[in-house]
Amino acid sequence: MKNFPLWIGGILLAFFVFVMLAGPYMPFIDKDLKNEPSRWVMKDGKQKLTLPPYKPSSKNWLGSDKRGVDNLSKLVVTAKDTILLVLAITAARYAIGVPLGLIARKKKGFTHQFITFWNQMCSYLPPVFASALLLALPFFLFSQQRMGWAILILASVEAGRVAITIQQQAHKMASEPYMEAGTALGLRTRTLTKNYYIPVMFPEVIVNFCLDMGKVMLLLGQLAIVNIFLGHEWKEVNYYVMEFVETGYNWATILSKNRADIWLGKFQFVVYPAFAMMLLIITFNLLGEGLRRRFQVKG
Amino acid sequence: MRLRTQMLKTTVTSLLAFMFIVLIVLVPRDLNLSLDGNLVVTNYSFDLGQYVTYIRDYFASAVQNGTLGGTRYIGQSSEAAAFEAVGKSLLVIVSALLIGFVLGILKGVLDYKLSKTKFSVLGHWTTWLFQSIPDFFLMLIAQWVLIKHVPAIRYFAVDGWEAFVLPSLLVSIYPIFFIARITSASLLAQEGKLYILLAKAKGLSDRKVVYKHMLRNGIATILTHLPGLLVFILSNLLVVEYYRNYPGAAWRLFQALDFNTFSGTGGNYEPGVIIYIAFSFMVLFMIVQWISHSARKYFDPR
Repeated sequence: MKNFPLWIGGILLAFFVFVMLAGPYMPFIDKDLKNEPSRWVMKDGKQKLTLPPYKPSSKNWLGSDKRGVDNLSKLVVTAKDTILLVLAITAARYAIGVPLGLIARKKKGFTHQFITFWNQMCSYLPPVFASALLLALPFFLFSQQRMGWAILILASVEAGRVAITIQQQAHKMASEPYMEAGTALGLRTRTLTKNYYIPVMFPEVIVNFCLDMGKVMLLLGQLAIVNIFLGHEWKEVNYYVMEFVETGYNWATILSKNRADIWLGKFQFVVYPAFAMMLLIITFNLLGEGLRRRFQVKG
Repeated sequence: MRLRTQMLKTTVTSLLAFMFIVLIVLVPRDLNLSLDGNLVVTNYSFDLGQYVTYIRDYFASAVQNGTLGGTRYIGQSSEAAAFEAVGKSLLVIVSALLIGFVLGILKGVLDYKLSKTKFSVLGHWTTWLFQSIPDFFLMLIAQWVLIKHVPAIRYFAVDGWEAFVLPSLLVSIYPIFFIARITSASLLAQEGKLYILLAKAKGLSDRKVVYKHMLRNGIATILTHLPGLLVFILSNLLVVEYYRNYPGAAWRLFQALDFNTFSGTGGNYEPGVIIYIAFSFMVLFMIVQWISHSARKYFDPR
């Protein structure tokens, strides 16, 4: 139990994976998210008709929402989509950032200028402002591939930072004697990358990847607060009334649906998704911290 | 001379970033709605020529009228609207920067000192925990506690002391722990260095060693993160102003975006206000970067 953060992070991650895969099939989870317009409740020895939202009870551990849908079930059923979305955005961010950083490892040339500029430009506005500005462009709003664009936008607002980190690591490595030896042996770039760069850089990349998962979750939460969704379709919701209807259902959606409650002093529906997000962020931060310690011991 | 090049570089990058934002803001947002049978359809297509004409017209009329256009409120120019909104938030931003910086360093020193005792959990781990809690959750809990349990404080106040003190404190929570982490890391990195051993051998008190030797040496590293601190503050400011419904700069920026779920951008889209607020953020960012550069030069001339 020496590496405390890694253990706790690992246990929490195992818990999230379990919830993602097996959660919806648990007996106390309503997989279909059925609404329950009314319910008979025993009160003072009499059956009484009650309307939602129902208070927390043995049937609804966290209570239900305004339409009688179980709050816990909502969180559990949507966990998979949320975590996969976060993973997709982070993976896209690294898929853009890592190659760019490796190409620019000599700290000169076009790619170097490009990622330096990209990083500085994106670091002057908070990511939530930048992504909200871009996501609200009509081109992306009405695009058929809205989800893909949204993932790309959220990935690229911080891809510059990832590229710079990778570049600095690779640059530092390049001056090490073993790299010079590799070059003197006449190894090809591909072999150098595969056998030298990747094994040495992998630990730090994986640590940063975990921390970035937390950052992406934070960004999704902030966007939910200002009511901007990632995936949606423009549908007719009333006679001649078109509205963007979310296609996905994740924690961010639950949060943004209930965000008006904040101003009414009602917190129960907002706190649950926000808490779930916090737990996920803490999990990945713990995991990152734990992995950092683990790899430092080794190296 | 190097300082001047650095400053020039910062300025040019900030200006380019600002121009990029202006270009995004001025993308035409008219939807050509039409009826296909009984279904409303839109055929939005991006046309570069139209876009260039729109930008040219926009700036031509701006030069001609001396304003970047009106706002949703009749008779109010976008200059006045942006000035009012930024004015409401500027004091909060500056005080959050100061509070975050000063208290953050103190908390960092505390963390460093506690790491040598059996209470080390209270030091680094509290800092770590607060950094991991997302701002929207932290503010939610703060709001809950204040509204339900401290009714004497008017949480939603737009005037009086609450309007300034509450957001300043809420916005500076995260920056404090951000700076604390950097401070304690820089103090820990200096442990065992020769000049520290020398100072200790001379019989200086621990307090003097920490504040006069270690902190003085680490302040340059901490100052590098000042622009990053501002970015965190702006992002927290959005959450705080949004929750409090307070018409400050971040809130007004989102109002000007006029985002709704029916047509994306509503009829009250105010490009002028967005441009001015983004411009003031950029100026603020530039000033903080200049301060960071010159202070670093002063404290660490190497």
